Amino acid sequence: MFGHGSASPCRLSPTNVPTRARTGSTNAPRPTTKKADDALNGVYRDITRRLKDDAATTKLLVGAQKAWIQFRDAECTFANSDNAGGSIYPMVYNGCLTRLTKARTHDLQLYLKCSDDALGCPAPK
Amino acid sequence: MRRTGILIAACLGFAPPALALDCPGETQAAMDQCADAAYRKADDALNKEYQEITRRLKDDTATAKLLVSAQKAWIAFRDAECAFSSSANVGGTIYPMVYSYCLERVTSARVKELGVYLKCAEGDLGCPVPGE
Repeated sequence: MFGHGSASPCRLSPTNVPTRARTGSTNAPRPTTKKADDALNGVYRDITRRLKDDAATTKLLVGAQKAWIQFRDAECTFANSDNAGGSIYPMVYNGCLTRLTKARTHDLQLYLKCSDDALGCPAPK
Repeated sequence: MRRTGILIAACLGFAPPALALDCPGETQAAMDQCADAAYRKADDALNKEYQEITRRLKDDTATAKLLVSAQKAWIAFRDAECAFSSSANVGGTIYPMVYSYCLERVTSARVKELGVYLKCAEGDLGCPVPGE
């Protein structure tokens, strides 16, 4: 879910960016981004599992993750703006996606590690 | 919640960046104020960076427009994330403090990201902001 490169109906936004690349360049998902996406999806699933009896908090998690995806895509479009139309656009864009995805994974992992009594721990063990 | 509450929470092994805030206080109001002040400090730093990036992009309206979109999307993410992050404390007396902690954490991360754009060198891949 919230993954990348697949035809899953759960995919919320495309991570393949249409380019005006030369013939021979590819829009195919890069391995680094897929690996980062898989790691993020794994952590996200773990949190979702903990919240399976808490529909209200699950809804907030979904809202936060959707908002993050929108932010990720807008940020990487901005970060890559000086490469627009160039053949390196997909590579640099995917590099940005990977970087932001790794940061998001790290932040979500903190939610898996926090304890019940802590502040800001919405999905305790 | 007393001052020791924060220490206890930290000792239980939860050490998110938010609890790096030093907000001791004898009253909840004092701790709330401290956490809020920390968030506002980060927000001020963010606004300064944002204004500087905007200034450097004054001759590049296309990129400036992308910056605006990214920042709007970030604001929506910040708010959604902090609603999730502090959801377990809703209705409790510590809720405002927890929410401020989250805002400070997410905003500080954004300050770092924008800081990179201000320092990146021309010719770097993914460097949309010209140098000074």
